[in-house]
Amino acid sequence: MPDILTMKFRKAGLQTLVQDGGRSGYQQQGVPEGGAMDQVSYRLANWLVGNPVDHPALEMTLLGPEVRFDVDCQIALTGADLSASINGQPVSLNQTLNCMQGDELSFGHVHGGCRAYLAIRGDWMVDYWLQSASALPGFDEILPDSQISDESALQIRLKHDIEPRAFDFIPVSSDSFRLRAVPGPDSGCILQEAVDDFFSRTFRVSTAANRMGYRLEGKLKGLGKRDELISSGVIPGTVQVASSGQPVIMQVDGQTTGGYYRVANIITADLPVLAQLKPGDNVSFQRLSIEEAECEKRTFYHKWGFLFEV
Amino acid sequence: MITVDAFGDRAVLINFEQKIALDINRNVIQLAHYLRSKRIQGWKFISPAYCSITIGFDPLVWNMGDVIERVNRYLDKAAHIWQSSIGRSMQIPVCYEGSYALDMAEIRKQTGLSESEVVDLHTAPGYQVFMTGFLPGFPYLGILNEKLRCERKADPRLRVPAQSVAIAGLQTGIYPNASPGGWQIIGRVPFKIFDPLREDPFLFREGDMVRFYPVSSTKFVEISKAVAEDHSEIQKVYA
Repeated sequence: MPDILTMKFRKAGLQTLVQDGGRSGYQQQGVPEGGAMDQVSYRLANWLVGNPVDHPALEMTLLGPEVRFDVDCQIALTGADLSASINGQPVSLNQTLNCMQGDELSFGHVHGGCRAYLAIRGDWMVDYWLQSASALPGFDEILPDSQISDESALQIRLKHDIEPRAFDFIPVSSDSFRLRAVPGPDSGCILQEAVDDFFSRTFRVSTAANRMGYRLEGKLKGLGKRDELISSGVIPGTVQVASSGQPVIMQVDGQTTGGYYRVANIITADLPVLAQLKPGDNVSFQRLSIEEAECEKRTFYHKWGFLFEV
Repeated sequence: MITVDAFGDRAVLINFEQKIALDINRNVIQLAHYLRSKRIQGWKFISPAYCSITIGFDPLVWNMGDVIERVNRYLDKAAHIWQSSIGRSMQIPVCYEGSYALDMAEIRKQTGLSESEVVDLHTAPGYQVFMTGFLPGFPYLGILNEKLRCERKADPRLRVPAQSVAIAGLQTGIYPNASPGGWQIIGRVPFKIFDPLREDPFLFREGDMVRFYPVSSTKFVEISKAVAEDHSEIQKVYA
């Protein structure tokens, strides 16, 4: 059997990126963490094909690519349900799929969620920068091949097949979300009314929602005119409130410091769900204490620890 | 007064007195360097800002209470670190002429200074790198002479050229790449301050002490060529 798979893209899709576990430890130089937004679905895809869980995979947003496999291979699809099909036949998510030479993978409507992941068994022959294959927005010269365009090709050194695996995982099907969050470090500096307002409202995700951050529609009450904060750290999941009162949830490619009030932080256990929000979805927030968040974190890792212990 | 608190469920925020001041930021950087020197397994990043430090930790390895306790324990023993030096000394050439200084007219209008006074005031002090952030490798430098204080642009530029030196309020900084930005452009540096292909992509680190010196547009091109031909030329900035 030929040992190298060449994936040829006919169409790139809306935003198709090579992603992995991201790069850690460069935040202090202004380099965002990057990596797959939904780390559970992404790692699960790699687990389903027997790859190291933090190996590169494709992240596909809303509109998937069209791609052809030139040799037999094993793949897995996870995350958002983007109506994947092989040679026109619908295929299931969250299980190992055996593909044949010449098979064509394509996608259709969004059934639920925003970001889907495609893992392929084998060693991805991609470039790395600062230990990650994740592109850096604004710097096209870094890892240009990790941003898939029409006519892109990716090469993967294949490994012997594994026994197919499946994982019982219910994909997102709703467009209404309730995320859990703890009050942010500046929630004591702003009027209690604004914090209470944040936790009692339902927001719509605006069209300005991407890997850098999600802008929510609407303005928080009781913020008034205030000085900006002295720039300080922000992390993925931090909810900042712009001086206009509009909340913004920071994401993995976002800035590492910000000068706006940090009203809340989405809890670690809900970050994978956050990645599945798309423009137009509704979202509300449940207030947790740090102790409750830590408890949820333990529950989360109890379930998903096998994907995170490298 | 230093406080250590939870920041979400997988980070800790250390707050110093909330003020932009050289001595406070110096202490921030001293503490950040000290904490990094401990090389604690599972502390993923230690990011200093003006008057705060964010520590991100691996939630599989650490819980919140233990991280806060550990930071407080280090703080109790940290008396000796407030004497440590924080960075390198750097000399950075800047061309303040013509199209490199896109906002010179605006800066002159806002400050009432002549072009040579603007250049003299910008090159006179040594600046401290308070932090890097906003964009990869973007150095926040201060403190600018009060006479150079300018407002940010009401309508930010959609594309500030890479390597532009800019001022706003009492801060000055350098754009690592072409990006939108609201600061007033005072000049340009003749080489990349962030180059992903260099072994160390980042020219600046928090705590470095930076002095600018003016160069003509002819010299600008000369330096630019020299660095392009031989990457090690850039080491000359660390005087």
